[in-house]
Amino acid sequence: MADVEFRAVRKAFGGHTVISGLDLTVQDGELLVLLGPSGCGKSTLLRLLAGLEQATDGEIRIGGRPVDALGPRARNIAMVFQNYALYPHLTVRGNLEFPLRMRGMKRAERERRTLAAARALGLEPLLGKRPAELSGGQRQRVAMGRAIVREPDVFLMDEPLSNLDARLRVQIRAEIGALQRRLGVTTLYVTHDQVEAMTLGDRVAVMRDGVIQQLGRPAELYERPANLFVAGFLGSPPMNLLEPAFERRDGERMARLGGTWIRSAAGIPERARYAGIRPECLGIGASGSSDDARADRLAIQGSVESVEVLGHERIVYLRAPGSMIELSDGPGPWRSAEGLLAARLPASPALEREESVTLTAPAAELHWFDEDGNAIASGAG
Amino acid sequence: MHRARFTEAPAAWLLMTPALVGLMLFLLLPFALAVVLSFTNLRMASPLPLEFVGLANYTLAFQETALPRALLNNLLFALVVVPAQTALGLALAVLLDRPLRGRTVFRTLFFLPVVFPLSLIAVVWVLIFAPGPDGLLNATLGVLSFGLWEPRDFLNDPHWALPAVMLTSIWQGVGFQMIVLLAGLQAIPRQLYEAAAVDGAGRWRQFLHVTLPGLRNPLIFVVIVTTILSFRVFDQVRIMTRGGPQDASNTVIHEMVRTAFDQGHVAMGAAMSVVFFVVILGIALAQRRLLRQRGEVS
Repeated sequence: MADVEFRAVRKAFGGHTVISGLDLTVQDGELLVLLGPSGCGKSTLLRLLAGLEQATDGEIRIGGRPVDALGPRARNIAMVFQNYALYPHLTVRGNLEFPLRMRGMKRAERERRTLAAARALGLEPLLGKRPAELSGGQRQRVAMGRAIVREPDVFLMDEPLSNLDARLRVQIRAEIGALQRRLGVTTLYVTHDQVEAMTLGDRVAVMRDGVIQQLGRPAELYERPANLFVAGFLGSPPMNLLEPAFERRDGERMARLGGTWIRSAAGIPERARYAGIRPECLGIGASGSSDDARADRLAIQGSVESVEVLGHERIVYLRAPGSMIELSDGPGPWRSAEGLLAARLPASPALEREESVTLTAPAAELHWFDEDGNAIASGAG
Repeated sequence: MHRARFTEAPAAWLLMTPALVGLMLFLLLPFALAVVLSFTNLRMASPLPLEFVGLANYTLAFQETALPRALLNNLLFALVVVPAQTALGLALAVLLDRPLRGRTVFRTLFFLPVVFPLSLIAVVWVLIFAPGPDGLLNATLGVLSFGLWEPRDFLNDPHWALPAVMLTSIWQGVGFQMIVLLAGLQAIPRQLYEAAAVDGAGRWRQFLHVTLPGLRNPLIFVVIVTTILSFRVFDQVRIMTRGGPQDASNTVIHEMVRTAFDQGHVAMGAAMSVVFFVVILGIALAQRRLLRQRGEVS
């Protein structure tokens, strides 16, 4: 068992920097998820740790030992690849045994470990089959088995569930979580799927453009996103991000959101520039005069653009006055846009398209962000 | 199902006809003729009437022509050229699969001999093997050995004629193997190498456990094709050595052509071609059985 440490790690391909000066520590026995959109550098980070890529700068330590000069072979890590990378000409047994054979392990010990891994993953009846004869879920288990059979210091998992169908994904996700807790092996898990990240991770690191945006427990990330990116990335649908107009009245800073002037009880932070509200914080309220200055309640009136019925709840998209912002793929982390406000509402009453609705929420539920998109802790004004 | 097959059959026959006609005219019919002729005394421009002579041609072919020696030479040729050319082609493919400056240039250069006419290549190699101290190969070996090399006439030396033809053939054909194996290499997923590296395999073991199994089907293809080509060797021999000296580099097809056309003994040549057909058929069946037993890897 070992902890993993990235110290000021930088990686550039040609002149293109993928990871710029990254620090990260994975605790011994922890399952840490690297979450981010494709191209954010999360897989590169994993490959750096595996030794499949060399860092341009910085240091990587496994169990306190610098590994930068070591090849993949000497790092005692095991990796589960997105497409499993099973050896097609070997049987399941051959695949499981392969890392042990490469380490010159005695036959009896090899046999014992292979059977133990096969038993742990329910692969015993499949030992004689070739990968081509297996289903996607079975191949995934073989890949897991090949990783655990070695009893490595660290597991690396690169989007291990993305080739499975939705139902199997949920099942194997739970199996991976249980297996990792049982074995207690330090694990670095890469995914772009936030549900996987939230359900599996002891901690989650949200990455963007090779920089960790926020590192914390899943609930922490959701409840207190550190910046606009994390706020707009997590959640389905993610947080509504708004660009209010500000005005000072009687010495108090007020914000105009969706046609309503509001002032939060604690006051709107001085540096606030953007606001965010989670879809589930919004509820249907009575429509009032939109110019009223309401003390501590947000009321946004708009027309229903579309409704997604999910059974026990609905996601309602509202076209509302005022500017919203969205995360951009291009240069600059975000841009103003005429977006739709998402609200997570109970299944009734029914709402029609084009219907005029007022959504309200306590102003205390608002998240505030400064000019640079960083969250302002409430009361830190 | 049944009805579909019934109505499709005429169309199928119609579509197959051109190919079947070609097959009949240029393959089956000539071979049938060869079988028939092999039991006669047919000679070109012979005044003798055509007669049925039974198995005489077959016995004579083995007793009085160079057929046994030619068969042996072909066998030797295959035993040397098939493994050597395949190993070399594999080595080149592996080397040229790596990111390398000018690798397209190298690939083109190594493949070039394959597209050149074999007769042209044979002529070039005749120049390389030219006798005397000024012959290209002799001169080169002389320089490399600081004058210790004794110049020889490779193509007229019983010990060197066949190896010289082999060398030419390997040089000419290795590009083909290389291209086929390169395509095979590129079909092996990179992640398998990475998985093997993480699993603790060094470069050599990655080659053994990922590259070779991944190349199984292209390798089989290359070996079969090269084996067949080895038994069909003719051009090089015809141009470089004419089978000599003392049949040291003679091959079955060369002997067949010489007997049937140079000497006009058509029936004897036909008998040789039948013998040769049986040998090739045997090899093909043996290979087929061997490969089917081991099964395909998908």
